[in-house]
Amino acid sequence: MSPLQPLNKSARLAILCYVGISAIVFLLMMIVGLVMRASQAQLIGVPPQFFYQLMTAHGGSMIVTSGLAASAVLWYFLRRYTNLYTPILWINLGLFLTGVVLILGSIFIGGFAGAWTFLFPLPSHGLGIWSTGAATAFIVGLLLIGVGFLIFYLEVARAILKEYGSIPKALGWPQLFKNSSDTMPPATIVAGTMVFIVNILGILAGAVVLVLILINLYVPRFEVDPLLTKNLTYFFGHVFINATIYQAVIAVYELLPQYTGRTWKVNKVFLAAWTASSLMVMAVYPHHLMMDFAMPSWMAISAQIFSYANGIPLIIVTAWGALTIVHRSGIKWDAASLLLMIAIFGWSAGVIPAIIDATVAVNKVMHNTLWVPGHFHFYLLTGLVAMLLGFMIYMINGDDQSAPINPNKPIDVKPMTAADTSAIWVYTLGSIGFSMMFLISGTASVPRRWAEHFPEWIVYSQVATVFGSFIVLAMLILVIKIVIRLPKARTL
Amino acid sequence: MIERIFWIFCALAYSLFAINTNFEASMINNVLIAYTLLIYCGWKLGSSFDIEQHWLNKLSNYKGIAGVLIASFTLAFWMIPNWMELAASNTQIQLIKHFSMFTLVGLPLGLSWSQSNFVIRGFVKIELLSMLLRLGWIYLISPTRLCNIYSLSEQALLGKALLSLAVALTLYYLYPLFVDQNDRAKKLTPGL
Ligand code: HEM
Ligand SMILES: [Cu+2]
Repeated sequence: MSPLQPLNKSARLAILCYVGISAIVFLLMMIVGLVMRASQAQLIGVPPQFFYQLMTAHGGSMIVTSGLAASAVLWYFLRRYTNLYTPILWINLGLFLTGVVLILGSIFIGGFAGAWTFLFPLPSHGLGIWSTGAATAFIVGLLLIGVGFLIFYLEVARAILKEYGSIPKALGWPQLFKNSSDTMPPATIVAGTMVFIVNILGILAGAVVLVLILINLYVPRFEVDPLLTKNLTYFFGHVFINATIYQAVIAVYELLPQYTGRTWKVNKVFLAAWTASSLMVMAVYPHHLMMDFAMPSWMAISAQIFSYANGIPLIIVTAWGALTIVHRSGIKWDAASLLLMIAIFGWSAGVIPAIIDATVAVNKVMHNTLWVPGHFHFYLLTGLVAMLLGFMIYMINGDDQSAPINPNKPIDVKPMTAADTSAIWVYTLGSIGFSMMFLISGTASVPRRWAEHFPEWIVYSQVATVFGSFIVLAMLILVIKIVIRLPKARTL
Repeated sequence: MIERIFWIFCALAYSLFAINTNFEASMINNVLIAYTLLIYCGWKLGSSFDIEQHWLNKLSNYKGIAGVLIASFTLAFWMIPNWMELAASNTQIQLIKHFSMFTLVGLPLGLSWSQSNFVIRGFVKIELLSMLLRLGWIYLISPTRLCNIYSLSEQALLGKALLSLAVALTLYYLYPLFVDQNDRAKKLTPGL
């Protein structure tokens, strides 16, 4: 491969904006989450209406910000293999920020509190708490963000197809099915291909359902079918948030080799896992609808089977690959590589409660309890966000910023400071503890999305609040470090 | 030249035919046949011109974006039931509709499509698919007639037709992505 050219100025600035904005939004929204949990713990008083506004803002911002940060990871590494057109980064960012302003305006000015899942018919049933206008602003905001990401993934698709010719080649099907001896596509290309396929289809579903809800807001006699709407909404929502991990994990595939001076070996098992997951990630969404008795039961059953089958192969190839690449490599750990390893653990562990909940028999009991936020906070905090933080810290943690990357020699690492080490471990343990408290509350049948809790439940929330403040504290240290050092970030 | 006259002639002939018969009294004919036919003729006419290097095009139609936008807004306008209805009852409006389908949707698309790139085309295709799905859905569920001249059952039939069209188009758009572009190019130009 020809030596890597530094990022051009505009692309570098854009990537740094993505990184800086998402780091800050993550921190702010974690504080919002802490406020919610503290209010459930009755440590502070938050009026119920305001709680639901906070919940809508927290859920919505976290999801779209994860998308933003993850897309930065994808772009940053994808451009090592393909020619990407920089202005797309700015168009996406512009639409993203406009959308976020609309969404926050709808929540905090318009009072919209229908949760980020905008489940029909809630947006049109504000009962005087929010107006049609507020619901409109929320939906239009989401649509704008969707348009930005659509353009982004179309560009990803263009660049990959230009270089690799077709989807089968980019996913390595000739090597997988036809024993072709061509060189394997790099892990980044495989992941990027899967992500653009599922996200473009997901955004299409989202764009259809959002506009239908919008039309219904103004012409209520078009009664859209709530169950169909829910299907489309969760198809979009599940695919979008899952795809963030599939993008963030590219940082693992690209950076661990740099830290060890080894290469990430793409083999047939790896290719098979990614191809299978590309299909299955689109088939598992009915695990959100297991309690909708009007759904055909084959959908619930297949969702359960696919939910088991979807996550595990990918995690195994990733965890296995990471362990073998690190094993006896003499790796010198720094904050970034440590976070990436923790993230692999967090992702693997977090999938367990997720799979448990995707079991019809369990879901009957656990549906809409705090078990659900429990499993997703687990893999989002210790998996996704840890990966993203690892990437961000890698970006800011280089001394010789433009030194060429030599594939056979480990990069120079900066030893960890005491602040780094303690922040990372406090973040990790805090996240595990916080998520466990959600899970434990779930097993005690505490419902999710309740602003006020019964006295018996309060102790769970109180313990969780302590863990939550650990997370926020550690995050504060990490984010300050990231933002301050951003101007000196890597250029390669 | 002959080719251009032919496409203009086709559009005119259709228009004359439509205003003298009640061909467009059927919703399916109106949306699926009339619109498609007129747009196709306009497209063919437009793509016979090579305007890419023209200063006016360079100034105003960067990568064909302006042309594509004009086409989508015009098309969206003629999807609004009130205007469809008016066009069905008033011959002048009907003529305007034919004219704008030809000159404001087909023609700009034909002039602009070859200048656009993968991302713009992809965007237009996704937008087209989602529009077909939304409209199909609306037509299916609408409890009342959106245009007074068309019957409810016909409206629902159109809804199903639009949804099927969306599915077929999705497959049609996906297919080339699974075929190696480089291989295809090699097959098309064996000399290379
Ligand atoms: C310090 C860290 C965090 C705290 C204290 C926190 C706290 C909370 C709380 C209290 C809820 C409401 C639970 C309920 O009663 O239903 C919630 C919901 C949620 N959180 Fe977090 N969270 C944190 C981090 C995150 C992160 C990193 C993400 C995503 C990347 C995230 C995504 C969500 C989502 C999607 C919901 C669901 C909202 C809904 O039910 O509509 N959270 N969080
Ligand atoms: Cu899901």
